[in-house]
Amino acid sequence: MLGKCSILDGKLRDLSSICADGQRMKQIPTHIGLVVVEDTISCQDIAKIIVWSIGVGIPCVTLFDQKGWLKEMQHKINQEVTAYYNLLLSKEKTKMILNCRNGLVISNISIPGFSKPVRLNFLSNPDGRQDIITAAQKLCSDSNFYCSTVTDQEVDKVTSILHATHEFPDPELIIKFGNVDSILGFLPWQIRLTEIASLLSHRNISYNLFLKVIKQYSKCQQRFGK
Amino acid sequence: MIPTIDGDMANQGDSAWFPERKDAGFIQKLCCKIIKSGVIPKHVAFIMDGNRRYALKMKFSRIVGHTMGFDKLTETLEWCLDLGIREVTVYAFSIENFKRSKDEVEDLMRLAKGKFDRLLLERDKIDKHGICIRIFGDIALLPPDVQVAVANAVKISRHNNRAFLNVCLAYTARNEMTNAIKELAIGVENQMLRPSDICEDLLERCMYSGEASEPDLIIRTSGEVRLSDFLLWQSCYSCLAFLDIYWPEFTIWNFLWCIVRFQLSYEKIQDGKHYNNQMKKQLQLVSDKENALKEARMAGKIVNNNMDDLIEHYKLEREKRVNNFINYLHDKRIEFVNSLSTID
Repeated sequence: MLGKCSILDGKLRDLSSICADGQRMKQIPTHIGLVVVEDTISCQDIAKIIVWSIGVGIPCVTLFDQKGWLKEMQHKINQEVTAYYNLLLSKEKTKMILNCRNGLVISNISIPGFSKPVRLNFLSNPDGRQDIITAAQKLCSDSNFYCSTVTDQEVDKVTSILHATHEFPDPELIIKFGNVDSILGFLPWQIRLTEIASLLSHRNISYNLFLKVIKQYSKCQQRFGK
Repeated sequence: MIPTIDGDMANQGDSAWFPERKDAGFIQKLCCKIIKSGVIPKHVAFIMDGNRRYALKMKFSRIVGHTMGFDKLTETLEWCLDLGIREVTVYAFSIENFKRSKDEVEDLMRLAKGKFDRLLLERDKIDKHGICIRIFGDIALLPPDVQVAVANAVKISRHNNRAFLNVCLAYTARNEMTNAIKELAIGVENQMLRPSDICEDLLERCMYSGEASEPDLIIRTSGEVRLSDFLLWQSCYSCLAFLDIYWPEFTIWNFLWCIVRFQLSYEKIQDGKHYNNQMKKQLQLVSDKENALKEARMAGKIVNNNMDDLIEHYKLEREKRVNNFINYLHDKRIEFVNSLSTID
């Protein structure tokens, strides 16, 4: 089995086979969080994971590391994403038209499962607890907020004014990369029901390992307290 | 006199909080000693998941599963005391759990009431171990008789401070955070606070868990790998351990394994915490400077190079406001519990 995997890993996937893998899944996240708790970052490997995520049909990808290194390398990562995406696209049999927007390649082939453009979000420490504090300050300046009971309405109000994930759905899945058993402050409000998968490293990660995590997610069933 | 327990539970034998147990074996004692030579978490939180699935597997009724879950809890508390873990938080009942069938919710409420009433009978043991019981959650959502039972347990153990048992009942983290923001909004409305006074430390003090420390380790059983609206704020720098066994099957070996995971992640997590503390400090400095300047300008003061005194003065005033507010909230919560309790 291991031997077969390494042969498959050596072969460069094409975009349609990645899309097909995604289509076979019972459920695919609408938003995935890639939480890096390692000390060194490989832009190339991060770019691959981003492209695979988009390929299997995940329209929103959030990248997080506590100290903001990913934010600093945003430009380079976008370049690597474009390069890798083009590489995969070059293996496609038919020619596709490419659009470039803010350095992020968005293809206008119809990738099954998404009609909206892909969104990439880079977050770090200030986007976690501190974002909730900013929301709290805003709500406290709003004299309507101090009602006597906390209902779903008030909870939803908080959700709606958080800046870090404005107009993003809550992430259904996090992949944490690194040998630390903590997500170090990643979006505390938004991860209420998020599945947390852990991989030892993002460096030299194989597509098969990534797919395994997505497959695992697609099988899980939540009871929502019931 | 032991209170009568309804239905199935009568067959469950001793369901005390501090039952007599046989001594741990030599190997267990040795392993605990070895683990204790490394850093031990001061506060462990448990998502005690899988009681129903365990009951299904063993062909018991659901309520038997929950009762066995309670027994496992008391056993775990004893391990914690032996290991020197001074604070434990448990997710006993989520606000979402109210969505379960009426029968199951009633059974769970009856179980909760029975167990909290039972606590009063084992008061001497609670005092012997110096355990303070705290409830995190929207107590007003619970049936009135459970509210009373819970308030009594909190009141009789309030003076203790050697160990802490925090029970999340009618709790979700989002409700907790929103409630904390609401308390701050009341403070601002009553001019006890300014919006700019609101910071991470202050919000934390306003949560139900305001007087507790953050959990160092969170353990969830039953194979699910999510937090399910449990301690979302407080778990930012916690070691997360997910186990693939049902809660009633949780063993000391599972526990020691989780503690090993905690020890392995300890340094990196401490780094992470330290970084967050630095960021907090910086933000506070910037905020104090900005607000001191604003205040001075509004008062028509001429701001020269002597900003330090101005900032220091502003900071002290802010801390006074914040401390007053925290004391007011603390008193309000004690009042609330006292108003429910039927014990003097």
